[in-house]
Amino acid sequence: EIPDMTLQMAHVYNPGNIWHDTAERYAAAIKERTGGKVTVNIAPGGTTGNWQESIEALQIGTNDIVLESIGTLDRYDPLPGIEAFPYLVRDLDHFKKVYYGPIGGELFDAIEAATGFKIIGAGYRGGRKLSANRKVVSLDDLKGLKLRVPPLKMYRRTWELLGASPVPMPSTEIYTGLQQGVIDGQENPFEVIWTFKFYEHQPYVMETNHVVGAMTFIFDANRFNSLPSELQQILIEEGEKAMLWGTEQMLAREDQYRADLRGAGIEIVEPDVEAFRAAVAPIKEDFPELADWVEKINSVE
Amino acid sequence: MFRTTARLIEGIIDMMLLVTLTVMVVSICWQVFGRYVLNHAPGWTEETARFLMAWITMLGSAMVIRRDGHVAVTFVADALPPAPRAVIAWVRDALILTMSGALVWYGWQFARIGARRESAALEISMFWPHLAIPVGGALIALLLALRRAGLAAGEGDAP
Amino acid sequence: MTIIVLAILIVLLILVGLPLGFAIITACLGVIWFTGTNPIIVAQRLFSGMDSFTLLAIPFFLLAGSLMSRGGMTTRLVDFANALVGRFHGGLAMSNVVSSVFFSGISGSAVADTSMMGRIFIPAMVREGYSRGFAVGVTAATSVVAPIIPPSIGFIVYGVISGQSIVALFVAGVIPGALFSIAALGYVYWSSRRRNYPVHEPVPVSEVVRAFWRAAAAIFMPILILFGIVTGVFTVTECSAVAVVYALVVGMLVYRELTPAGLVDALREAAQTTAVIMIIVGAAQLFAWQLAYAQIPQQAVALITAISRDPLLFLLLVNLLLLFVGTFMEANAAMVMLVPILYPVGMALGVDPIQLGVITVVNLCLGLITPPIGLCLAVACKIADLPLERGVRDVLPFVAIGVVLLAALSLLPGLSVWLPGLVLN
Ligand code: NA
Ligand code: NA
Repeated sequence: EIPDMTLQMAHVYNPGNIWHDTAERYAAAIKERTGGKVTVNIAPGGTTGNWQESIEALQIGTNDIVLESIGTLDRYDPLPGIEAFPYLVRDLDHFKKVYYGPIGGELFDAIEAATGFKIIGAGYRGGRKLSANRKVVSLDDLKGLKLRVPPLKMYRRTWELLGASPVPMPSTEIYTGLQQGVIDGQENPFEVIWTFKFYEHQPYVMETNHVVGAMTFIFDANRFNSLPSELQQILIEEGEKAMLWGTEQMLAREDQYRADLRGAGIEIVEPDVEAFRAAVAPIKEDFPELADWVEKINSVE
Repeated sequence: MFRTTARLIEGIIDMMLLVTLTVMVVSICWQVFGRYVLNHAPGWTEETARFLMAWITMLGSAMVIRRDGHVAVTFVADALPPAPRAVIAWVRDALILTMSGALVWYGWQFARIGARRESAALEISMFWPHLAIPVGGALIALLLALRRAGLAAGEGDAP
Repeated sequence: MTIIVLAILIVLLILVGLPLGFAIITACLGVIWFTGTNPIIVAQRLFSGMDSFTLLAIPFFLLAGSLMSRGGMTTRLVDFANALVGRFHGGLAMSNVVSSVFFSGISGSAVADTSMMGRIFIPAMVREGYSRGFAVGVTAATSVVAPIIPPSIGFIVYGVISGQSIVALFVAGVIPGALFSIAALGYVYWSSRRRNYPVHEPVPVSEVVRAFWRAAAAIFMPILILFGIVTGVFTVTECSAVAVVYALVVGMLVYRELTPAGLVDALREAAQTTAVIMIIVGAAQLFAWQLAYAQIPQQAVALITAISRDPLLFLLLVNLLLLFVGTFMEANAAMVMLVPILYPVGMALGVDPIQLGVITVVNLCLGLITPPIGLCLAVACKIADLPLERGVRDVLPFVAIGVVLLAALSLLPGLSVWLPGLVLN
């Protein structure tokens, strides 16, 4: 029997963003399925903390749900970092087969065992693109490019192998960094490049698609497992549904973002992706602990 | 004796503050140098400086507590006759001790939660940066208690 | 409900004499205990408030300011100011104003400015026959331009909370800072003529040029700071670290007045001042969390937009609120507590975020010279050995100038947004 309760959800996306809509959809579905017994309060835009702090607050107990990408958990164990493994997830079709197939279930269980966080659903973030103040087609064009990367080892290593000069920087500094020319470029999905207006100082966007990222709902595993099993079931089913809905939205809007960027005078560039893929192949050796999973995900057809 | 002990502790904190601020400045200058001269932005500089700022704040807060170096309102107490003023001072110190106790207790648990996670660039356990909170809380409590003890023992007030 | 309980608790604790930061932490702890939330979050929010790359600029700008005064830059700035305006009625008082403008290009903190200028100017002005009250008034009041003219700790804090570009905010502070200083100069001149305060022997142009060259390294520093961040050579934080190195080099190699002992003193002073400011910023972060957790900002937006959607009326209310809060609250603390509520409302009403930032910072700066808790006024009175209530009288004309400036800033967004738009695009 589900008691009356309030769950606190936090994320760093502003109202109007697809992932905020996804969170609201999830909250509404939970309320409906529990007959109004479970209310979800959403703190958007990082008002209760940045993503690291929001995830930490799951352990503290002031948050119950955090919406973020799977890779953000890699500070707790290397395994979730596989989400950002370059050129591993190939496209949307592969994405769905991996995350919603048997491998995905196995991966999520392994992540829970390794990190103590339960994750539900996978939302397609679209391929990450490189934006820069110069046109990048070949690997040579990347030489000396001061590129902002998330402060995570996987990204840093990826771009070192590609020949750029990665500059780790928190996301809040990107816009002024680009505006001032402290950095020459950054890499993110179209959605981020558009909604955070990075394109205002970046005339070129390269469809490198080096990572096809996955958003997810993160719970503290112990706390999740202590919830009534009926509620757990609802949270899982509705979470997956909400993330699939977010996936559809992203898919529908990705082409729109591309067109909007073109409309804003940005040149969309098709780089030599095969050369990129070959250049990052040695990254396997930097992350031996992920080798098995890379193999498994690669072999999903 | 209490006052001497407090000064000794403050001497140690002072050394730590000087070193900490110097390392912070050097880190960020090295970051600029790395980006422009070596064309390679080091990843560790920003985190080092950020984490040290938590330490400098907590240690510095303890450093100035005995000499009333914090921003506080005194005109209410100042307007009172000596007896109620002493009572208010006791209430104030008791409240600060409670708060620092809470910082030690909850800060320690916070540090243990941090131990489950590594920082992104330095790849150190977040236990160490988080530890600034309970350590700072403990030093605030200790120095305040020494001040009170010194007053009670007739050693006079800080410095 | 939460916010009312919290506000009452904080005021009570402040009146008992708890340091501001501790009062906020203790009050939040009380509410958190009472509502059964896990108090570990207190430690996390406190840590989060201090763990910020952008806020690193605070210790560095403080250190740069300390090094400059110990390295002989301040005295050279004052000499130059004397050579420039000493020939007018109230020459020394005018030089006080001009020195504050020069110094504010280095310092981001008004209190630092007051204590430095106060120690130089107040005894000198009293010796020349100025009234103590006037010396206090001029010194305290003109110090408030330090956080308006870049660099500015206030704008850094506002930028961090609101997510607005600190560079744009810095540039936006130039015109309001200049306007306030010019008006202050005018008042000082008028008032000195009326009271027949002394003039200095006019200095020949060659001497002015010489004084300029002697002070050039110090005058060049703010230009370096602004140029570095506007052109994008450095981020604001990096720039503040470079300013430290610059002050070090000039103090040790050019002016040769900075001794190793002076360096240690400067480090110590900057570290302790950093702690005093950052514990308040950290505590205020906890307060802001408590607000967001109780969904107060959303409620405030709904409430205020239901009453009126007129941006000017909103700005009027903001001014009144901030002037009031600024009289008894430290500026950074007030900002971290109020901006999370005011900013979303302002955005919902279509107020320009940079304009709102300038208005916020100017208001809270004025709070530094208004009783009962005007930090700059208190410091200046202490240096002059004058009771606070006597200093108040002479500071009021400057407060009036500030209020007129605020009215102009509220009515004319261009005063705030024109220059950043021009320089940064
Ligand atoms: Na300034
Ligand atoms: Na002055």
